[in-house]
Amino acid sequence: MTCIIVDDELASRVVLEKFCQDQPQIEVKAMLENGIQALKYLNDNKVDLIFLDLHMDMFSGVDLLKTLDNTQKVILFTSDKDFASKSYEYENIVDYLVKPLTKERFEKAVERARKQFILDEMESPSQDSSTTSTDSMEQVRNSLYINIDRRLINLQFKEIEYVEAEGDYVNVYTTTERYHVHTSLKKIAARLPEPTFMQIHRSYIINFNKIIDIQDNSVLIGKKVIPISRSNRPALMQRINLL
Amino acid sequence: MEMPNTNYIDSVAGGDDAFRTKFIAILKTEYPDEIAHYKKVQSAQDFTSTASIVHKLKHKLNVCGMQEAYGLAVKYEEELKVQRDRHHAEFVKILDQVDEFIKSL
Repeated sequence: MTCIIVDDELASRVVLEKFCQDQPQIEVKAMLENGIQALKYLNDNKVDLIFLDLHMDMFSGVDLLKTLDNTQKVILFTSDKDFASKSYEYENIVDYLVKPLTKERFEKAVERARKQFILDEMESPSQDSSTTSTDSMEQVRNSLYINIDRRLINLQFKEIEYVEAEGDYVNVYTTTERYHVHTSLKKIAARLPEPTFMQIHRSYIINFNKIIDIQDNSVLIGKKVIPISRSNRPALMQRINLL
Repeated sequence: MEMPNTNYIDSVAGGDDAFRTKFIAILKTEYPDEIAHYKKVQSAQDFTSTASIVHKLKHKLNVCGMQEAYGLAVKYEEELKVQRDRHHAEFVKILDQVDEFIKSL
């Protein structure tokens, strides 16, 4: 299982890292100081398990929990002994550890996460959005967060018209706004769901539902004419034929 | 009187001296900063920030084996949330005691 550790105290992070190093089935991919760093990391990377401190000054563990889907299991840890009952409001929480962490308790939590992970793997892979219990979770699942000037902005997939590469940045166009984001087209493509989004050129990803018109070598979305590269054209045509 | 100790640190290290040294070095860095922050926000009567740093400090007290002090910190944090700080003097004594202990490691 791949994991990240999110805690604003270095002393806690290194204890967890040490415990993880003694568990051959766990690979620590990153140690992050707050929820915003974690959210940014999770926008670009997928992990199986998140060790999450609840009490962080900037974008707390609870704030981060609200943005996660059920595919990422969470083991919470905190100095609050009375949060346990509330923690089970979130489906992806598999265990709850009270600081200071002990190795025995940590190992039990990891075993619980491992079992849950195996159970999830055995269940239908198409289960994702059908298990959503609240509107807010549904909203989170159908969106991504982008980081603009240290501000996290939630973009619903249905709002995005197309994404354009521009050097080390991409421009995300919605019906009303343009967002200039420091990331690559490849990274943002990994966060956008297929088949709604499709790369039709090395510099463009489009929302298929926003196409107004298709001509030989271009599509029209809003007022923007977007080129179709020769290599991406067959896939686009195949998609059109399927409709 | 309760005395700080390294039982938890030793237990986590499990004989790994390099980890033990690293962990103590982190305590020596983080703890004084947290005390300084506590004193600053407490003197400014910023109850929310004081409760927040007490929350962090109580973990350090636990790490240093101060179970009774941890209990006091829990009560103190709760009272700070309703704008009361009657445990401040007692809490500072504990912080200073643990500070001396960490410096001696």
